[in-house]
Amino acid sequence: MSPTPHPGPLPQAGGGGEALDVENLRTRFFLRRGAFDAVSGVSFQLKRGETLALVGESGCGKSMTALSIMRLVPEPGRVIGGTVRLAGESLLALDEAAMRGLRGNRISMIFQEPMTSLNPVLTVGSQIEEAVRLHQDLSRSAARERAVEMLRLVRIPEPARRARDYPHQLSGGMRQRAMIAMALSSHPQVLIADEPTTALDVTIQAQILDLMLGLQQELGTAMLLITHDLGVVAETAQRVVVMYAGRKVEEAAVEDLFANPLHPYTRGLMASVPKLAISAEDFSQAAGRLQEIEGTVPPLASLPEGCVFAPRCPRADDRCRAVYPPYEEMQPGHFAACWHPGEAAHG
Amino acid sequence: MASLAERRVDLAREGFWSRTGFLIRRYPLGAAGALIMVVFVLSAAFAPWITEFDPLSTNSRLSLAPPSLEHWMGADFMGRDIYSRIVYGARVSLAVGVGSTALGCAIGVVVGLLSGYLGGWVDLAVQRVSDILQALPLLVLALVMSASLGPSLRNTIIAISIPLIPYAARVIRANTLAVRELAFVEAARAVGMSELRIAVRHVLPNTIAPLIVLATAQLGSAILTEASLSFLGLGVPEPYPSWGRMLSESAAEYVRTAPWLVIFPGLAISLAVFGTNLLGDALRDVLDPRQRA
Repeated sequence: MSPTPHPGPLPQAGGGGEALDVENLRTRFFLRRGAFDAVSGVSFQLKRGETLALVGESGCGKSMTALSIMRLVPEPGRVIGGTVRLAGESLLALDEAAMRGLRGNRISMIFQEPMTSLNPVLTVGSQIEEAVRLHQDLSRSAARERAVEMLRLVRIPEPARRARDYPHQLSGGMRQRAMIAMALSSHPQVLIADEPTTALDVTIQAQILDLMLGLQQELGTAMLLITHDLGVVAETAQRVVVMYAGRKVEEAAVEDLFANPLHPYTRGLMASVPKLAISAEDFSQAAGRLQEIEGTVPPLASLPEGCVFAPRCPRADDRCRAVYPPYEEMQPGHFAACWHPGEAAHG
Repeated sequence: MASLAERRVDLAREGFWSRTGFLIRRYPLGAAGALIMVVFVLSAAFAPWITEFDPLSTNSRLSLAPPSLEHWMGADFMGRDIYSRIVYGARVSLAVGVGSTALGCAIGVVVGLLSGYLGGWVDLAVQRVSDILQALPLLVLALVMSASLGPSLRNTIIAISIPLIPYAARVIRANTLAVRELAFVEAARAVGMSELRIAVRHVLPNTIAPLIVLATAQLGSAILTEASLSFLGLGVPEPYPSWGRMLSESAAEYVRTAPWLVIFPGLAISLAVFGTNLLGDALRDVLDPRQRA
């Protein structure tokens, strides 16, 4: 399979080859009972062809970060600060029409629910065709061909026939492939995948991940992968950002993070993943109850003073409860916001 | 939602005749309703070919003539052939029924989609106006409308369509509220579609099935309303033959002496309403998955 030619001249990434540069992003929700920040001061860079994983438990602001980048934050939320640069171009400064021109074109997003992400009354082909025609000046038949070609690219068998099918005639995995085909149809520089495999069963998950990685290499797309599944992270990403309560708590290359998690929250996440016992020694370690992180994510409307993770943290002391730790480079290329990075838990 | 498309596709895979056969066997009453409607449509379309007499020409010798071989539904007090008038009357009834239903639904769709998709104060305003319109009985509203507009075919259609708007708008709005929250709407935004395009191309088609059901049921009701308006002298004026006016002209005076003046137009109205209701019920079963056993 050869890479398909880009429909237009590829805009060269500016600003040191960063496809996406998010700086101090802040998204606030204005509710009747007060305002709170779903994303507070998140920064990260995504290079061309790189995969960055955004990890955290439900409600930690992963999806809101993605929607903020796409400028699709639902009411009553609003991006109130920071910058988002797509290949050097500031997205938050664009007017809505210009932003629409970029969505699905230079920056695409795929969602968690493949079962409902396609319109049930239109054929799969016509929906991809529509997305193609939104951004590329193609005739109907050319867009049709492109849709079929994209379906072939995501390895849907008999793409021409499948293009005429309605979404309910496709399995969940097929639908997610179709969504990927739609998202990549204009060769975006950045693809945001929000839990792309969570709703699929395990065997299909692996196929979809392989497919996405393959296409990413073929097309040179930068990918922001949002997931809570550390297994997926280990297999796909080069770098990882761990989020907690709307904040970035740790960032590192994937090997560093797994070898030496600094933030107690990251440690907790890893400890809560079931391990397969291979040797007898492993077995004695893996046996018994799975570890959990005590407590729940605090409601964003009433975050504690100091470190937001302190109430659940085994290492927390008075300083943690009083002052939010600075986000620092603890080891080369390994950042964390913690007063007691990497220490063993006391108690 | 999926099941509408599902059915459409499954049916499309089979041949036309086996599909029709299946539907007739599955919904015999609906098929009967459809047959009645087809007969009415054909009579309206081919009126000049299936009638012998001019529905408007009077003949004093035939005044109140009872049914005979030549005039098999008899003649009215002006000696006009009742069969001809009923056949031509189908044109009026269908024009009013289809015209007012289509007009009412078209406006209702726009209003309902705007109201449901935009929400906020637009929705609030539209809903309160709907409440007011719906608080008045259909016939009373149509009566007021046609009295103020004056009797004509066009005004009758307008008068009957207006009370229909809030019903159509409500159906579309309720579905829009549900559909706009579905993931594919967000996905459509993420590929860069404009809100207008999403509303028209992605939300609207997913809300239309219940409207089809409503429209079919309303067709009968519109025909009945036209008959009622004409009965009260406010509907379609002379010289158009209208079933409702045929009844009103003769009911009081001739129901004892020449009952065929009353029976045949009454039968035509009943059959037309009966037909649309049967068809509407069957369509609801076919299109609405929640009603399906």
